[in-house]
Amino acid sequence: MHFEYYDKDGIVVIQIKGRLDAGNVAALKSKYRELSVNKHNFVFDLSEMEYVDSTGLGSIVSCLKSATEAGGDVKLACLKDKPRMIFEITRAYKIFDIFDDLDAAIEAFTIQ
Amino acid sequence: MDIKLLAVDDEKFNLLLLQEALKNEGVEVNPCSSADKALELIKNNNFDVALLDVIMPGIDGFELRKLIREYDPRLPIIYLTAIVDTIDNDLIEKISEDKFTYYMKKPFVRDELVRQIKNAVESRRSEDQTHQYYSGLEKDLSLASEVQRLLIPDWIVLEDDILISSIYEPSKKVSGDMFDIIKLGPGKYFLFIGDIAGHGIQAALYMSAVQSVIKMIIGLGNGKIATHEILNRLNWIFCTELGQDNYMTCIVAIFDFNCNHLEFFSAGHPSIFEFNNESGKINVLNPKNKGGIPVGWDKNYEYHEGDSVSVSFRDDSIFFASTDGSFEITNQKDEMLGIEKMLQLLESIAPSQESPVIPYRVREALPQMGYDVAEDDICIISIKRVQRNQADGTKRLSNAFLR
Repeated sequence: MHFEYYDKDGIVVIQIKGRLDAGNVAALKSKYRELSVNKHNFVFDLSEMEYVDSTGLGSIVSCLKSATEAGGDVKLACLKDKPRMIFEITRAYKIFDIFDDLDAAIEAFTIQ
Repeated sequence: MDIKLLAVDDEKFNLLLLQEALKNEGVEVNPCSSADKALELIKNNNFDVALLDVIMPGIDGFELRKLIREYDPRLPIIYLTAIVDTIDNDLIEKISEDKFTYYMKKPFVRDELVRQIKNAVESRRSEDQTHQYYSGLEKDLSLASEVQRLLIPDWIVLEDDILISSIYEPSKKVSGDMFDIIKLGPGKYFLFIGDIAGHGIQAALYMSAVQSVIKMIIGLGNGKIATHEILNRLNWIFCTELGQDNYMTCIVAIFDFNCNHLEFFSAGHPSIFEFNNESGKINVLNPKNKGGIPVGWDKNYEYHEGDSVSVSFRDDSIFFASTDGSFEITNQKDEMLGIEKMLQLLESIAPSQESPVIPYRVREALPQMGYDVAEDDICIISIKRVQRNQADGTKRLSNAFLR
């Protein structure tokens, strides 16, 4: 797994690429902690996240918890089919705003 | 540092030098002048390190190393040799073949020799400690696995009204999956199936704790508590006392065979399926995906009665519950089995097999279909009503709560 990140209109976009699982969640959490010192609104671009296991999903939830405690949010964009199944079964849509389009996810922060 | 050293050299002068060089360094030098004598000493002593000459009459240093390795595969061996100066690649290669072999040139520098000996011994002792630690961990894991098996119902359980069969397969020695059946009263049973995020001993410990909490909640409710209330209490305890940064998907279900009624609540967990003998079809009992989020995601989350699923069933219905590991199994092309294929499989097997056999038949079929990469724990349960006059013998409900 590796990720890239950039700022767009004051929102931090983190692009997660590859597999997000027990072996590498620490890296995501560490990077999130680093970026969230000054920013609290994030979009996770999942268009290249091939696979997520329960620990990986837990790390994304953990980021959401941290963001909301700081008055911000984490929105998700472009879920692929395989990870989408785990998000649907767990009803993650009840706590996450999930978008099919990255720009729509970013724009949602302005509409809020 | 006390070190017991074996020194092998056919020249007495070299042995004398070593003894004198090392006499005040906490090293007990055991000299010998031939490979035969060296092997005799190796058999009868525990050395920390051996210093060998390479060139000796008869058995040379490398042959001696091979023989020593039969008694002690990891004894550090230091070759003292003059011929390294010629940059003989064969020699270096032979020395390097063995992970626990080092070399020093002759004539040696005393301080360097002492340092090399102590480093070699320390490295070996550190590795021994690591080896012992991991052996201990393996033993603990094996014990944890046995204990976990005791906490899960037997692979087949026959009670007055219910026949349950299960396949329970940790991906590692211990599992984050768990299920339990508790009798609430005549004809009434509580089923719990859950899946802690992660694997291994941490997940297994959480699951054991959850099992105790569930029994406590059921007990306090006198067996009359509703499924959403169970989850609300479980979620609160999980978030405040257990979970920290963890979570669990689960189903809590109540089977009432007095009126053939099932109520269940899914907290982020795959639905219970029913095989209808009349239609020959598998029904997803929760087609609208009613339910809540996993336990542990939000301590303030409320599970509402309206999100539970209530269904009536036939006497001959067979129910299936599982954790997601069973349909997240993949083939060599990384294609997931998926829920749809799992349902097709169940539907094809259920008409012709007795219900206890079905989970095993499913598990057996998966690698035959090419789905043989299981990264997660697998747990598949079948549940069937048993007519009271057909009950024949009893196996224990391992955690029965009798009213």
